[in-house]
Amino acid sequence: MGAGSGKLIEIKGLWKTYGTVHALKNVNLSVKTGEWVSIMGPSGSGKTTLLNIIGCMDTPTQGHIILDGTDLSSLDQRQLTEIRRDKIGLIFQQFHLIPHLTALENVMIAQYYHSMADKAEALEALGRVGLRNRANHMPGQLSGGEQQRVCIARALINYPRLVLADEPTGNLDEVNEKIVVKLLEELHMEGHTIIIVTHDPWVGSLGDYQVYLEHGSIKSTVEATGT
Amino acid sequence: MFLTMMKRSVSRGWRKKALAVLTVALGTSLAVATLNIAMDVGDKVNRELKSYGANILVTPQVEKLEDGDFSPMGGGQSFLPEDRIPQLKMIFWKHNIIGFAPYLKSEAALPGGEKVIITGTWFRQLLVIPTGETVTTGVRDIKSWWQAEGDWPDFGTNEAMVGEKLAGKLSLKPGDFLVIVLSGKKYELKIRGVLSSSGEEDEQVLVNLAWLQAATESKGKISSIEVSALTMPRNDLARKAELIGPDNLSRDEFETWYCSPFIDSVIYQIEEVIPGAWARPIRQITDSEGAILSRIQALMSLLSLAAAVISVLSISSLMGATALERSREIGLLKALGAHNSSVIRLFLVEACFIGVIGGIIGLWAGFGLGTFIGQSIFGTSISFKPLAIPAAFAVSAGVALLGSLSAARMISQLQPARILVGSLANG
Amino acid sequence: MDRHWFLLRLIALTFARRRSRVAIAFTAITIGVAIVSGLANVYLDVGQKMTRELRAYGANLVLSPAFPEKDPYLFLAQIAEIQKKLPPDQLIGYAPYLYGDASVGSRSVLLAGTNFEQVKKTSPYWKITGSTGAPVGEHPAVVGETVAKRLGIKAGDRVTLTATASKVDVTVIGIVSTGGKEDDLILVDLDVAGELLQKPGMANAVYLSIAATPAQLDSVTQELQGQFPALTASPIRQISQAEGQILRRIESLVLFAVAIILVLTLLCLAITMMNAVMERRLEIGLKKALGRQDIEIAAEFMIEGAVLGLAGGILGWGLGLLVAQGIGQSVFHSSIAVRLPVLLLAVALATGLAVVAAFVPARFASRIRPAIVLKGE
Ligand SMILES: Nc1ncnc2c1ncn2[C@@H]1O[C@H](COP(=O)(O)OP(=O)(O)OP(=O)(O)O)[C@@H](O)[C@H]1O
Ligand SMILES: [Mg+2]
Repeated sequence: MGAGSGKLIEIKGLWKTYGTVHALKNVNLSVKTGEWVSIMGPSGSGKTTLLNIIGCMDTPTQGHIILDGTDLSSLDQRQLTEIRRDKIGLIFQQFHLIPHLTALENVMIAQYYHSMADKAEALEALGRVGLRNRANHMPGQLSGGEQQRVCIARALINYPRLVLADEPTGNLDEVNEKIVVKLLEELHMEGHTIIIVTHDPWVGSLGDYQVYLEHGSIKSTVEATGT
Repeated sequence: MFLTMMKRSVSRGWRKKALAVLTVALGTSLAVATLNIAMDVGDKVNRELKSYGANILVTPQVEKLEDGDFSPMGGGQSFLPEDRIPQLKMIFWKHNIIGFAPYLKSEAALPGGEKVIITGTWFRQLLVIPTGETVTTGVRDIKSWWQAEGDWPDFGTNEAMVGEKLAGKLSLKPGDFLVIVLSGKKYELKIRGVLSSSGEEDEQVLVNLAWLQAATESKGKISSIEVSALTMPRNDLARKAELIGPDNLSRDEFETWYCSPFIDSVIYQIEEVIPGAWARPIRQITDSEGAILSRIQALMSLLSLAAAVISVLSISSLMGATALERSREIGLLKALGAHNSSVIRLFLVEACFIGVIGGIIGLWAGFGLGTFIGQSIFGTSISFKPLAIPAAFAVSAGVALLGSLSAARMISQLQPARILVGSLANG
Repeated sequence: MDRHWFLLRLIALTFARRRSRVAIAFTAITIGVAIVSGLANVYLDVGQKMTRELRAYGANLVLSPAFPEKDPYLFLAQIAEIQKKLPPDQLIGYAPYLYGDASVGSRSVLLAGTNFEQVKKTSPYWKITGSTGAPVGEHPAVVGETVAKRLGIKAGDRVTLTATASKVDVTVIGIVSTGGKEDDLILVDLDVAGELLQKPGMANAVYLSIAATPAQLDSVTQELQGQFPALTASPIRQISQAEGQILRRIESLVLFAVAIILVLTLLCLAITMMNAVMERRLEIGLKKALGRQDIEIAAEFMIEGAVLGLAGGILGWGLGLLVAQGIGQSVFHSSIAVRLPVLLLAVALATGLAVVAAFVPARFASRIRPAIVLKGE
């Protein structure tokens, strides 16, 4: 299921070096539209680095990433920012909500940056993550799981083609983990392409396939067996 | 443990700390500069005010006339001894005596029979004090507004200055000769210059004191001395002394009064060294001087205060910002069981470090700045006031501590729970 | 346009919800502007204030007959006319003097007639001791200290003054001591002297005390000279020249001090404002991650800065007036003039500074790597 038509991401010979540390060494990967990819591997293996480069938040030292037909390495900061705004939804392990804005406003700010703030739509998105009644609460008044759901609502409010999640369940308990995973599955069903970094084997197993990184290189790619 | 944490805390945000040190240094230097100027401004402006002329007039004591005519013009029954003049530079406040000029007045007749006042004085003369020091002084130094067309008479000659109005009336110009009759004898004076004083001297003839003494056979006699002295504005003690007379003050009060450069104590000391002298303030100068001086000092003190307030403010916001920025760390420390006091202590010790380092830098910078300003305004350097050092330290320590107060308050109000929730909350 | 209402709402919310932090910046701006604008007000006024203070030195302009050989007197009618020509707020006082010889008993004295009311203004430094009021109907006289000592006159004495043709009884209301020529005079009312000396309505000279800078005084002198060719107006250089010098020094002194404080305030404000924005770099990082361009983020911060600066500037200016009045009252015992340009300066300064301070970190936003900032520490 889920395998879409064209390639959304094509990564060729990707290197990322921090001084003497090779965070990524010759990574090649392609992701089709609508696919759900889990990236796994030990700590320090380069997962976050890879995700950041795909998410236009970091630039490769060498190699190419073609996102939706555009070669990211030919773009400047401005254009990268536009791509981030128009095509990508980000979910963070630490949620990163603006502390002095309510849940609703945190969602609306992404809307505003993308096109136009629309309260009804933002409320609907919060409703989708089950937080309609918490819309006017500040992040400090929400639990970690609730904050993560606000973060998801914010990520999907602009209908991004690609959702990138870096350990979205890393800080959550089992119940909240399930809720978040369910939301991601729904997004997947709707046709969003999802790349998720996780340490959790169960969460990883939900993807169409799992990419194992070790010391900055892809060690193996495993097709999903179950669901 | 406290030390380790201190070390880490110092090395961690070193940029911010450098900024704080810089701010304290700046604040202190500006406060010190204004403070230093404020302390010295009295002296400086006092000297400036001397351009208004002498502030003490010394004449022979007047006694009540029992009979006979008294004409204020003819006068001259009593004189002061010229050989006591050097004593002026030997009184307690000798360094405050910055200039003086003796006068001998007489009446001369012009060839037309008209009367004219002839004044003998020192134009600019070298005087050797018994202590071995030398001073150069005279009317040219204490009357800065006098202007001469031509030149000034040389010492020891029969050269003369003629007042502007008199010169106009007699159509005299520098280089001419003027014949006068003094106690029946005829003298020829060489006119060196025409004096413009915008005062009574514009109608007089001025000659060297020694020459007039010789001509009028009054060797060693003078009729008055004008003294230019640096004095400080009257305070309560000075007013009390004026009211009840200095000799009626208590011993301690008298000591203080005698050793303060009030106009009255300088006058008292002058009368002590010149027998038969009646010294009195030239009120036009002294009274105004006091008023102006206290105004300027008040103004400068307020300006220093403003500089200090601004310094406190800047440190306050800086420390406040640091505390805010580190509220996550503080929250964690408190969550781990640290007391408010120990966290605040961490901050205060830090503030003291910043205060001391910034204070030392600021102190020197401040002296430099003060000197520079003094140099550019008054043309003389601001003298180093030792009192400014503790003052500067007090200012910088006060600034740093007061400035950290807001941070300390914030720390004690901080709830660990609120800080540790949500990662952006520490932003 | 509609779309940007949200931004304004966001900024309003930011102010409302980050109160303690906004308060730090706001207080800094307000106090900073208060001190700077207060001092600016004081500086702009200090010249004028000191000009008035320096009038304590007494008269700075003297009028005398242009041709003393032909006619050594001025007429009071003329003096009244001159007085009208001078701006009343600048004319501190004008004292006419008529001099002449008189005698007390067998001793000759120098007599001067003047206007005691005006003398208080032109020569505030006169120290009159033993001052008692003159009984009604009697002529008051003030006796110079030297004369008093020589003749043994005390305050309260009655003295008969004799001149060529007439005599008059006066009551000594006080002994004056100035250390100047007044010490040798007996001073009476101008009318009394005029009658005694048979020069009614006349004076030898008029001393004027005019609150003016030396340059202004020169122009007043020239004007009077041009309008009244029968008299000579000459500045008393002892006073006017020294005054010019003192004024220059004091003005530059205050200018320096104000400049120092201005620099310090600006630095402090810049640091505070920069701090306020710097500590929000996580927010900047997040906004960048959400796809906001650098200049748009900069603009958001600059609008915040402008609002803060505008409000702080106006409030600070208001407080600055209090500062100025405080200084004016405590130093000069008079209020400082309110100047509108200072308001503009204060607001422009605060706003400009807040905007620039916001601009610096906003520029720094372009160097913020969201990936690194959002990673945590
Ligand atoms: N900014 C940086 N400067 C230097 N080295 C870095 C930087 N960011 C990451 N690295 C290094 O690159 C390597 C990969 O880091 P990355 O964050 O991608 O690991 P990760 O797989 O996400 O680990 P984890 O599971 O612990 O989050 C690590 O060795 C890390 O130390
Ligand atoms: Mg990671």
